[in-house]
Amino acid sequence: MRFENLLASRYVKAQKRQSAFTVVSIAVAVAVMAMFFVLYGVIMDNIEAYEDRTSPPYHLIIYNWPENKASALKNDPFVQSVSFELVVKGSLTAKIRLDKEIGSQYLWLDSLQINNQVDELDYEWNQTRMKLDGIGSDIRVQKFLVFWIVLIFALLFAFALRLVVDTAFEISSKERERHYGVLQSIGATPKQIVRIITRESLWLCVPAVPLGLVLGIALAFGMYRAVLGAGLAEVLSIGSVLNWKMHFSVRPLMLLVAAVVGLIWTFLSAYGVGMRVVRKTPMDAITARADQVKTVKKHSLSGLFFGLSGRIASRNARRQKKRFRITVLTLTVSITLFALFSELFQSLERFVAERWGGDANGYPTYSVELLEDPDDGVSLFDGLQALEQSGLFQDVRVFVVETLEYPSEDPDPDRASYHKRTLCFVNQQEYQYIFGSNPPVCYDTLASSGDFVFISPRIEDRDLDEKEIEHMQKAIAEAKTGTIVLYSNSLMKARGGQGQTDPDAGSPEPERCPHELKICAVCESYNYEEIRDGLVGALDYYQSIKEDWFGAKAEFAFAEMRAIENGEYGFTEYQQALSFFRAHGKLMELLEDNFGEILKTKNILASIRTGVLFFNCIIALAALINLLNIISTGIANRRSEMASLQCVGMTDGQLLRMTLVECLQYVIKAGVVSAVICILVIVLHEQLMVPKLMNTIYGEEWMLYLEDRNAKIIMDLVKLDPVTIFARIALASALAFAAGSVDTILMLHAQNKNSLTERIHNEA
Amino acid sequence: MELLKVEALCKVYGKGENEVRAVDGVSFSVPKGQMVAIIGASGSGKSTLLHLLGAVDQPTSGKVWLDGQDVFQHNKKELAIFRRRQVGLIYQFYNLNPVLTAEENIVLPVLMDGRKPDKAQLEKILDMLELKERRNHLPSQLSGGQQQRAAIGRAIFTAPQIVLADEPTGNLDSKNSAEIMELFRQTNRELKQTILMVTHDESLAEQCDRIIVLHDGKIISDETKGASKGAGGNAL
Repeated sequence: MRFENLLASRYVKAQKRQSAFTVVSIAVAVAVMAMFFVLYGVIMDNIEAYEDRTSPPYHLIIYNWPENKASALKNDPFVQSVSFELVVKGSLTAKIRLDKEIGSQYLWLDSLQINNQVDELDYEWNQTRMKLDGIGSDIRVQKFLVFWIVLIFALLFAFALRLVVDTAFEISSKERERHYGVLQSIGATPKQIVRIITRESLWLCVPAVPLGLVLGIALAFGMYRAVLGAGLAEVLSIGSVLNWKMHFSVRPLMLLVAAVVGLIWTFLSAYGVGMRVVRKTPMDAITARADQVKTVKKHSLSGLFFGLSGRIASRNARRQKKRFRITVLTLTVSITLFALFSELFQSLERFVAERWGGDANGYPTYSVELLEDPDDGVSLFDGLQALEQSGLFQDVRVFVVETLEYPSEDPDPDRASYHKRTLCFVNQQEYQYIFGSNPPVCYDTLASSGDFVFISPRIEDRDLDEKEIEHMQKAIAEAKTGTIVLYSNSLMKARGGQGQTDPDAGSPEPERCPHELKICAVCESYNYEEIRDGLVGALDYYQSIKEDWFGAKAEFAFAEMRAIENGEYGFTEYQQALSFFRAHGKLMELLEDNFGEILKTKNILASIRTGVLFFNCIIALAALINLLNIISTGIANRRSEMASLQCVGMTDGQLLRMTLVECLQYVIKAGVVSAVICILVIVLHEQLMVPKLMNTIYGEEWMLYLEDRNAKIIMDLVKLDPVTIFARIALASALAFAAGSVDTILMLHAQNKNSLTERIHNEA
Repeated sequence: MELLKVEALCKVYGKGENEVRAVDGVSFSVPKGQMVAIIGASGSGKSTLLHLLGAVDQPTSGKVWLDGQDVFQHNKKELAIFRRRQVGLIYQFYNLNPVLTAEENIVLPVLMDGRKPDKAQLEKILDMLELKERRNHLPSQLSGGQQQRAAIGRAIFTAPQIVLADEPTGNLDSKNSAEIMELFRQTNRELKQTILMVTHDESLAEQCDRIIVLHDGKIISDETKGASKGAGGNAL
């Protein structure tokens, strides 16, 4: 066996505590990486499974393939299968599955058109299915991009975790620096020293990497269950229309990536440590001259507050500057991430709650489109009746939109929209919602008379062109005369069956039936801004003229309602409402589901919160491992030194104070650096992020909107609160100090079991 | 025949007010097979001088030749090989590797060379060091004297040109000290080994062929048995 192997294996076996710590450190780093990669795999697998379930099974759909060339398409070598559907005589809709060997799908389609002499194809690629099946030239680019994005992410992430492995090697090599110096002094080359350290790292990887992978899978599963349990499962069951359930899977490739990254980082950490060791002369390594205090600060803060114990602690910290810095750095990273993550998340939570939760006014509301099917004899009034009789909803507001045309001589097709008038037929609840407690005319009068209320447009508030203004002024003038003559036409009347007219199809000119509408009031309504110069009529009147004026099917019928709340409205009640909508799928289609949105938002936030908490815990764990190990090895390595101090009269209390001050130095420095980083982040956030956000919402001149109430709310919501951040830094630092103190007390207690002579002798 | 030659060797620590001249312009030479004691008060620069001669530390200025080779002309790797093959170093606190047995520690320089240790040579040295019974013990399982003997074994196993011993008996009782000195004399006599030894103990120094006295980093006396050479060394 080569002597490097011999020494590496002996070091692993002989220094069990250090080896165990290094194995744990590597395992933790690999576990965290494996956890993230496994979770990435779980997300990707679920997205793929979801896409597979929801995406149509073809890669390409052609809407106008010539019927006489169906066999040519079927026999194309790159067409795996095709199904045809006859829509118009002579033209087929073709749903095509392509072969994997197709290469560039665009070139294939071009040659298909040329070979079959088809002038213009109306087609659509199903990119989702193509991505799933790995078809086409784009997929390679996509895969390449995804690979690099994941790789860069992995490297960045792994770099953060390298600190943990680095610290482990830094500590274990520090303990052995003297041995390496002696080895060099008796002839070991720098290469051999580096090889001993790297071989040792590979030995340690043998148990650490598999352990890390298993731990990573367990952590990923734990996080998956925690996030699902925190509300994501409910979110998914809200979408249970699809009957969709997430599943946990482990991609071997993800584990391999985590293992390889872990191995590379471990090797690099060991190599870095090795290079640092051999840069010293053998005597520097043997005597640890570099670690000795070179300048004595007569006054230090620790000395000022804690006397002699503080002064010794302060000098101890300066003996091993690199080790001190690494510990402070790892603590700083975890404290900063904890403080910033939790504050940013809380800010996001406030923003989301205000943005989506505010609109709901705390009520569970739903809106549906009321459906009609003349063939089945289903009318929108059936849906309305079902809603009113369900016992689940109250305040059902109905809004039916119809359009009639103006008798106009203007032949300009660009101004076709000016020749139409929107008619809104509403029920009493909606009427009250529009006009409040002071309507221009009583609803019952409107229903019995069949009159309309004209919603006057606010021309001065709008950014309109001349023609639009002219048109609106004309509409107001006409409304003031009390009557408007509008037309319905025969095709519109038959709309229930065939849809819109097609001017290019050579359809005959529609038959126009004039209707004289009586205007009983002209008023403005801010709630109906979008209608502009529309007319509002009663739903009861609509029921009597619907068939005659508009045909069997309404252009658009919409109902909005609040759920009846007996006590707290929760997930069970919400599921009942969803069941109702599913059961009445023929009568209505759910459009907006305010409660579901709130529930989703809340649950997603809860899931993110759980994820962030989990993440924070892992970062804290890594930092704590470093801190505790540094404290305990520091005490263990200085047992002779401490025993000497005790020999000359240092009490146990003074010794404890000295070691606690050392621990306090790590924590205070990390806390202060964290605070500085957080201040920088807050300044950057205020100076860069907030203006960018406001710019996105209000445009370049967002500064002008600062007095706007909504803008103030947004500014308030995205603001990072320094007081909370500093409180979190203080809390995290206090927790780290508490953990360090417990470790210190236990270590000193264990050490004090041996006599002073034994301790001094052991060190020698 | 001159084996070691030292010329104007200096080692300075610190700068300005904190400057300490641990070795201050030392020059001397040592012929092959001579056993030399370097003595002096604490802080006189004995150990520093020895470490410079063994190329385990870098001088601030000056030169060291061993067997005609300028030691500090070598790069790091060449220096390591030089130490492995040409120099045997012995420390006061033994500095044995704690994870290797006594035997493994002795053959370590040969293992570093990627060679197999000569078994007959090993047996001979273990016999001479009286370590046969303890060959498979770890340093922590050996007495101080035994550890120092193992360290001597490691230093002489490759039959280096020169053995440098830094207070080899400083941590031992008088019985063990006498045994170690006897070992040195034996290797010097039987293997024609050149030995430079730093010591505090004048009685041990008296047993050597030559005594160099250092004070504040400078040679103040250099005496070879039977012929006094005075300060400044016997050759330069």
